[in-house]
Amino acid sequence: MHQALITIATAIGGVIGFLALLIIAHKARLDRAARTREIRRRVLAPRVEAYLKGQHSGISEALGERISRQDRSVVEDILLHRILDAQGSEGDRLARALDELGFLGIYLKRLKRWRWWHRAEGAENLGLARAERARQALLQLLDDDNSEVRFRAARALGRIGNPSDTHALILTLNHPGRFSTISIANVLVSMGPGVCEIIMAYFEDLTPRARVVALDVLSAVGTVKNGPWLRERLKDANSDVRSRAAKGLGSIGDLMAGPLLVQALQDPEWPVRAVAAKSLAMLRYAPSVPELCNALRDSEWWVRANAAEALRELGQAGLTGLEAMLDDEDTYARHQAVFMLEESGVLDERVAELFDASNRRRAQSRSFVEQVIDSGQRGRLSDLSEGHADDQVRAFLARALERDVAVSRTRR
Amino acid sequence: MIEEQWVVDGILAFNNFVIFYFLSLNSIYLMLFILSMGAAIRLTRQKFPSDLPLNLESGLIPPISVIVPARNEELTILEAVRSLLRVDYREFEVIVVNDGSTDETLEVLGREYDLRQVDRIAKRSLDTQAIRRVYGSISHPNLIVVDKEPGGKPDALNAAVNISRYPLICSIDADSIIEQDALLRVVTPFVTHPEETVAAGGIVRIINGCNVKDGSVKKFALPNAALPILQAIEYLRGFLTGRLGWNRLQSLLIISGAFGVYRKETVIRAGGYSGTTDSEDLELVVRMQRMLRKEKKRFRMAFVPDPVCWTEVPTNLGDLARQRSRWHRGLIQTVWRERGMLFNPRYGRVGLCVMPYFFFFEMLGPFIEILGYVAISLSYILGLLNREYLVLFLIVSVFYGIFLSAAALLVEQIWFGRYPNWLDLSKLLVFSVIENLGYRQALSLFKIKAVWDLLWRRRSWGYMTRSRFQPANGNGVPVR
Repeated sequence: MHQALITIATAIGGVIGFLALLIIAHKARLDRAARTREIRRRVLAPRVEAYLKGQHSGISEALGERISRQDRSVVEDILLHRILDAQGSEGDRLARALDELGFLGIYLKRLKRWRWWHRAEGAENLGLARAERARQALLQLLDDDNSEVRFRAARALGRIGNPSDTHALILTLNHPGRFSTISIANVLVSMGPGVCEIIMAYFEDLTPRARVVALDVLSAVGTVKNGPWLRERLKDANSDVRSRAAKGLGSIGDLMAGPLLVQALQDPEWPVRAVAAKSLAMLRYAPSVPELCNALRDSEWWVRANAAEALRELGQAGLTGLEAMLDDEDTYARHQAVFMLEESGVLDERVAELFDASNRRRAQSRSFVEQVIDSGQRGRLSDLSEGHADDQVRAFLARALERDVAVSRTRR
Repeated sequence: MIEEQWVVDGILAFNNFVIFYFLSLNSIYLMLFILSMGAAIRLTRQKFPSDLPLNLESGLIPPISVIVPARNEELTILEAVRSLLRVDYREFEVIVVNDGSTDETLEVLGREYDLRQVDRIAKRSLDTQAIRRVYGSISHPNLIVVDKEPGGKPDALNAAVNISRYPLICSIDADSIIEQDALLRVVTPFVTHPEETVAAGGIVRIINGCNVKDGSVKKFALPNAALPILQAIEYLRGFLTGRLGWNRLQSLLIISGAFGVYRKETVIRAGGYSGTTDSEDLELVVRMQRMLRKEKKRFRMAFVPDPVCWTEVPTNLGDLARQRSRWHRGLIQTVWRERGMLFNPRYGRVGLCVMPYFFFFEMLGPFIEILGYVAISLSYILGLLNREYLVLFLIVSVFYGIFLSAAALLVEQIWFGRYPNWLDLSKLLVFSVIENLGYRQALSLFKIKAVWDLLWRRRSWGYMTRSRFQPANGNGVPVR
């Protein structure tokens, strides 16, 4: 027993000591490797730069002497980091350099490796290099067992951006368990407006959930050309599709959709009404002011909030509509109106005009202030009654607010 | 000497139980360590430099309302808010809730950010104490400050949930600052598994000793004081082996209140933060687990180890005792409230494994540990135990613990490497040994005090002595 315990204690002590040594050795190795790489990077980065500036016809020529394995890895690092933000011809030159040094071949081979991270890295790098010749292999990887590999392959196809692969990417939206819909949508968005036609062509093949995501993509990269098609989607039986179509119409700026969006403010589903209000604001569709004022009394909070913001964003017509709502019977409508008038700066402007030289303006401002006080939202006015630069204004507001408090007490 | 044989038998049986307990506890930690290594390897291999820029540019990433409850935080609130306003994220708002501070928290915010009162209307989804005023910032349109009647941290968080506009909420402590890309990183599970993810948490590291300027950590360094270093080791073990391991089992029960992101709709459906326990973050996550498992929903709660939140930890024993006592009170209250989940197959792995672990090892553990230390020491002194037995006890309690602390440090060094300074690494190595020789035992005593507090119905929050973050002019290693 005694001997056994000593052995166990020594073994655990040894393991702890080994761990400590491992930590120290790992750090020492990392530090050394980082230093060496940094030294080589300083030598090699200017050569890569010279190649990118066109001073050499090929990267091998720019690098000069036969480069070691470690230098190849440093150059690969430099090229992959540069290619992340590279555009146009610089991107092409970087991709050519990767090909010339044989990296594309290596990445292609990695796509067939057993370990998932090799396949994922291969796909990622082929995408960065926009390697057209890897398309077929990448398309096959969309069925890989590993989710990370599938996503990297989709991402690479998106970067390569060949229109013939787009439908395959769109159809992955039908499998939310295998592909993250947001990530695929991001990939599609990054491909630009070209995807819209293909989305519209394959829309009927998508599941209801996938259609919603596809419409998000259209909202992000669509153009007015897609307006008529999106307007049709406002009649869809699925309320999620209707609300995303409403969002899309606002995002692409389809002015023709104004009347349809006004109709959508009456939709039985509140998310459609809420999004329609937002889209009307995006379109700056002034004829919608009466219906948006009505929407301030909606039973759903988000519809009221969005309608109020829409009215604020519609400019003078909307602000006039909001002012008209100050004495509405609906408390929420009044409060939303006050908040938006504050946010748009109207309240402060009117307070500044309380002692204006013009009789008309003065009267209007005073009546406005009374309305705000009556609405029950007095926060900003209380603030101004203490902190406004003009003594007269402060005194006026303090009196008005005090009178209101006294009246409320009497009522009670 | 004890002459009654049954007493001797009883003591020896208890001693055997204590050894069995330590062996089981440390073996669970060992299993979590092995799982966490696997998770760390996987996470490191999933990281590509092109991911964050794509998420930053994407209009499809859900916007976030960052909520900061603050009570008497005048010393740290400005740095905290500064760090939040400069994060890389496409669409977000910052909501600071002043929960009836008696110091100048509200005033310092007002001076710095040009606050003015606004009549913002909140959707009252959760009940809270009355809101006195809501302020907007003229210089930062996405900053909102809510001044409310004191109601405690959960109440402040609920008020912020009500006022927030976005589908995700991120709670952050007012004595913490997050790294510039922390939001983009912590939101990753909501992007990779948008249909399922309901909560995600990042790692919390200690800011004591680091140099801070304009709301960001400019230089990493461990402090010179022993207590914060011991906590640094403890945090590494807790996050990098504990949470990463539980995360691998899809059984996370804690998302730190200092830095956690939640789907707002789920939080509201679960009833928001509760003021009935002293650990609102743990209680909320357990309640969400119960609700979602009851509904048989597919869901995911994730721990992401690289978005970093830096937080100030206690620098004296009194503050540490109060903090840990509160955490343990919260744990006991939560386990008691949700006792229906214990050994209940309806709640799957959480009901059958995680809750029992929390009950036996986290909740009752401190009592068994302290009683064990006392019983075994006395037994040895009284001659009831031989030296071999004592050595065996030391092996399973102390040596095994040192091994696990060193193992956590290994995960940190190989996969995360946030302490690149040789001096800091040496400190961590030395203190990973010292931690098991007094510090862990002291923590157990603080936890026992929690039961005493509960029996006497004491529920003080245990506010910590605050100091300003250290300005960026000292030693340390520049941030990567």
